[in-house]
Amino acid sequence: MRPRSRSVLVATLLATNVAASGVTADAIAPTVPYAADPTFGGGDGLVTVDLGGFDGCPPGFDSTQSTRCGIALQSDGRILAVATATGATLDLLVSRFLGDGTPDPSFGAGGSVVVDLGTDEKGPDIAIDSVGRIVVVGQSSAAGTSRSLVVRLLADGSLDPGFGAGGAVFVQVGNDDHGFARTVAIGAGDTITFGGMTAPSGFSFLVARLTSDGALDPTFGTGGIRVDSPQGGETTEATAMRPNGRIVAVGSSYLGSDTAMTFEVGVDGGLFASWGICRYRNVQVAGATTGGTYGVIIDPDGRTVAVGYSSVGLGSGRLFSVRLLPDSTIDPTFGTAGVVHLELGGPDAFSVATGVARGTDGACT
Amino acid sequence: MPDESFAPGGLVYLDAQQLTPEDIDVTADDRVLVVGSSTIGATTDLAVARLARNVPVAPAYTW
Repeated sequence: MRPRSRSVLVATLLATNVAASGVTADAIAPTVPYAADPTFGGGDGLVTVDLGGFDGCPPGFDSTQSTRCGIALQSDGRILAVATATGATLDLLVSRFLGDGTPDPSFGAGGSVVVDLGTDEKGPDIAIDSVGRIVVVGQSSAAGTSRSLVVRLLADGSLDPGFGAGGAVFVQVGNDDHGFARTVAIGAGDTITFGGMTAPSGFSFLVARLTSDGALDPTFGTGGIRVDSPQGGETTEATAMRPNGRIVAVGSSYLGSDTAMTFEVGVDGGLFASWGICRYRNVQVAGATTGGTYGVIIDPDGRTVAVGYSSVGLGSGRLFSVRLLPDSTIDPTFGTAGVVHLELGGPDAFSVATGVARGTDGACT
Repeated sequence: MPDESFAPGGLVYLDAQQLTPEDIDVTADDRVLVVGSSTIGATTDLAVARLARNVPVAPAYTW
């Protein structure tokens, strides 16, 4: 029997006025207790890190900023999370937990590391390379400039002196005031491919690759960077890597009504030619006026599952998922004509799926 | 289609601790991990939640 394919997504449900303002507030979900894992976090299924200030995911879905937290699992079951801590400036907060949620005493100070590089740093994604080093990507901003930031930590949480300059790499395209990295994937040889946005002249998606020592990889794109903007206003929100090293990226287009923008980047940084018109696949949902895509996975059959939202006006954001076949055409066997919508909380609610993961029940979970 | 083995309707709300989720992962033994912010009053903390398998309670929702 062929294993069934399953994906798990996470979403945020916001009140209409909250979503419109871009400020995260209390969820308006019904008061139904979630099923906490009693073997995690002292029995309530939840662990928190409080360093005294704002320690979490910077709120909002502002297209011009990196605004998320990330999570990664080590092969030994320990859990890594990246967020933002507020000190004199915004700093990266990386925490590691044992499998039961206890802060890992072998990591940083009491299980957490704060990385302050002298600018405002935010870190929305995290990954682990083949030898256990921890890679965080995000944003470094100061005085009207904004750059993609890549930081690598050793397994004990210290900055890796063998990476970039003292463990950090900054990537800026032109006079960028909105650049950031939002997503990362580790490739062969522990190369680091990250995706995000740059805006030296209009918003453009950015995909770049670093060698394992933190240099821009000259065999990728132009000097290690691929920048493009098919409609003049795009960003890369999430990436997934195929076994052959190609990157499937999803993002948002800010100028049209597309719910999902997907594209594939080859190992040399070129756009994969078979992907639709102009080598992008823009998914438009009938009746939707706007949308965005914030998570992606590739299943064992090479199909792409992307999640996000589609909306008919500000007050009707629906969870959205689409599955594409390996040639980028929409998979008609998934949901209704390749698309699944989930409406939560009534007509005045706004729901956004912000992440997706594969489960473990067979080939694709 | 919703995964009924996860929860009725395949859906569970994370309303405890005012958790605003941002990203998700799945452990080797099929437990769902969620990272986000926990905001109580004026305090916001980094939060990681783990869900039990075969979630027993959830309202019925229609996909």
